[in-house]
Amino acid sequence: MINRSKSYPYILVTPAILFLMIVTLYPTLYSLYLAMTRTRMGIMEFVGFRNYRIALMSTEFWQSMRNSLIFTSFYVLLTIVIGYGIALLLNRGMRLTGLYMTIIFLPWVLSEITTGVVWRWMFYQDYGILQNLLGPLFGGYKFISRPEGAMGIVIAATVWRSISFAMLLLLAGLQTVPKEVHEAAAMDGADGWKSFWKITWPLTLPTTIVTIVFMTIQAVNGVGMILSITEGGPGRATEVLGLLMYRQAMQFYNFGYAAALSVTLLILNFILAAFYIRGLNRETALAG
Amino acid sequence: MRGKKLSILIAVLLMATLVLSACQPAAVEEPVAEPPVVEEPAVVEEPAVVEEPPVVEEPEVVEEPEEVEDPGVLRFWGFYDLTNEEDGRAVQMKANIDAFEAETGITVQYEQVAWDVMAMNVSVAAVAGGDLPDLIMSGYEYIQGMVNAGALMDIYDEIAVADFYSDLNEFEKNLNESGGMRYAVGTFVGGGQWYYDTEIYPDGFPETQEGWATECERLSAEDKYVATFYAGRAEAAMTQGLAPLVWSLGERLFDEEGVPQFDSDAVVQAIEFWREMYNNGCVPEVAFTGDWSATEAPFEDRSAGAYRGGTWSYIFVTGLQERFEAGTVAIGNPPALTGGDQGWVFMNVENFAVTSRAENVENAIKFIEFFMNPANLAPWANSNFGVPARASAMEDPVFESKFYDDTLANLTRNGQGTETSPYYNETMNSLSATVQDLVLNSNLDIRSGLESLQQEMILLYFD
Repeated sequence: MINRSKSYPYILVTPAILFLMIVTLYPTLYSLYLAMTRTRMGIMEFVGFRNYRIALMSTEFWQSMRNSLIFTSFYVLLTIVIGYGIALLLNRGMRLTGLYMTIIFLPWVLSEITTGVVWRWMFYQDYGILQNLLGPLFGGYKFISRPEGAMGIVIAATVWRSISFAMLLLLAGLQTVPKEVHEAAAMDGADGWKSFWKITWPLTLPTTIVTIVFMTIQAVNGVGMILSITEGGPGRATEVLGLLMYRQAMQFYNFGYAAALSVTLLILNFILAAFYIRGLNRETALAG
Repeated sequence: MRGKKLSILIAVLLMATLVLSACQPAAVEEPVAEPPVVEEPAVVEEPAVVEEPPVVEEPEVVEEPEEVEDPGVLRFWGFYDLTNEEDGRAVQMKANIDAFEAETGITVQYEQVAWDVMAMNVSVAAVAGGDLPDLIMSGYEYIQGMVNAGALMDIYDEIAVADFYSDLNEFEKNLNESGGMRYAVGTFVGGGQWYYDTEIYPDGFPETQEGWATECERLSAEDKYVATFYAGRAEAAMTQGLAPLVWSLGERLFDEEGVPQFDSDAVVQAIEFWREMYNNGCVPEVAFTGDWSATEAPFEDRSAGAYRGGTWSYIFVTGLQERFEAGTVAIGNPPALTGGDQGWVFMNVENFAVTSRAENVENAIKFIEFFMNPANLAPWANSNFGVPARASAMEDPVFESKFYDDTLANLTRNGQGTETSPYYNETMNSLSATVQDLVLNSNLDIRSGLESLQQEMILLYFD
């Protein structure tokens, strides 16, 4: 009886695992193989690590890595800071919290492409509403036409869309902090800042770390917003690694090279996932 | 206990259903794996659900029944939405398809695929082992890329014996034939054209770098631009914009074997010219950072004195045809860089190509032959404002107009350029991104940027 009940969970999850293996493991293994090939005149030939060598020698690759680093750093920092701030406000339990959360969550439910197209139009060189409002303040600066401006726009758009999700995760973490601890601290004379720094921040740190890692994974893999706003331009100013991979595969039919770039992304994601899981375990341990 | 067992059984059945429903026949991510659109083309009398087996039709008009009783089908990917009655090209394509079906009894299964993703869809389908149609449309610059992907069929033998072969113009043959092979058939020829406002340039459009600088000074005082053109992050910007400047100096972007030579003095000079025009406000910023329609706007609102388009510009530039017919817009000569003696225009050919996995090759060839009949080709070329690839088709009265007279004069008095490379699309797209970086950022060294790009292109494609 005991043995049969022990095997049931495995029986139940086997179909799902099989399905996952088919849709994730096979494509991953095929990508690893594809990364060691190149196709010429429809004929695929094995080239070993040549594609990786080319990537390491390519200024385009390193520029996309640099762009990914800049984009990810600012995106994560702004999303966490702003998301945390909003979560702190909403955690006060003020009136109409539900309404505020609904409004704040609206950007998240919009598709990436829709959001990107709207932001692109808002910064359209001659007729964009935000371009016309902000441009004169910066001496007629055309944001979407300049490398720094374009990067700023994609960061702003992606942060705008993702704040709500980060806020949700962080709010969940804040709500695990017992109110009695704050009350006790208040009775001992701790002001708002000290209460936050000594109580709230340490207790929500595991959640914050998990959120940071989660948003970082999103940023590293995110292509849709950048594609719809700037398509990686002007020049290569906003071409992140994911976008470079997409262009190499879909525009240039360089499937082998694109697969090599995807493996690079995979390694980055593995590293980030390791941090994520470690942070999750830490959070679980603390909750226990 | 029994209830628990029943619940477990139901859960297992549900999961199995999910797994089975998620499993699909080998289909690629690209939409090409789906059966060609059946529900849209108006020509389908019956719901043509079948993908592979030929549809058994009842040919109503079969004056010359082919050797087979069942004429079969033709799966055709084209650029145009055949339901769009406002697009002359779509209307003409539909008319030609209808006439072909009526004459041969062959059912054309048409699917629209946009011109800028046609080559991608076809190539990805070819490499991934997905379904390919029998016949596609393509601009010449994408042909070699599809050949590289193994997507196209060599049809030299079939075309060389066609009635129209001897009537094809030399430009089409030079482009589409090489080493005894032919992967496409050109239907019409188009080319780059500079349209200029005759009131802004009463003495004609400037044809030299120095002329541009002089006019820039004059027009800047009136808050106008010398010209507008598309020089954005796309292969077409390089083909239509940068290449003619390089050719004006007697240089090429590719050598005889199609290997890029992007780090030449001519390319450096061309980019320096563009950078100077950009920094001095002689051309609008959108020329380098906007999309196609954004670059047309300054010419439409007359803030730019000229527009670099092509023979097809009537279709896209609002008011251009009216202004040309009224005489307020004329076709000018392209500029030559300092040291060059003549401006150049790029030439383009729109083609039909048979795919490597075509199941109805004979029907595809029949369609091409039908299309190349002057009676069908002339209206088709005219709907695109192009010059037919068959000389005899030019005798059609539709080509008797000032537009065609001036167009032919433009295409013949200036240098006519075209280049090919096995990796034309890939290398030119990469070049466009680099050029955009170099034009917008004056701190970057042009030569070293081009040398770096050149090395990468060699490594990626030619090593």
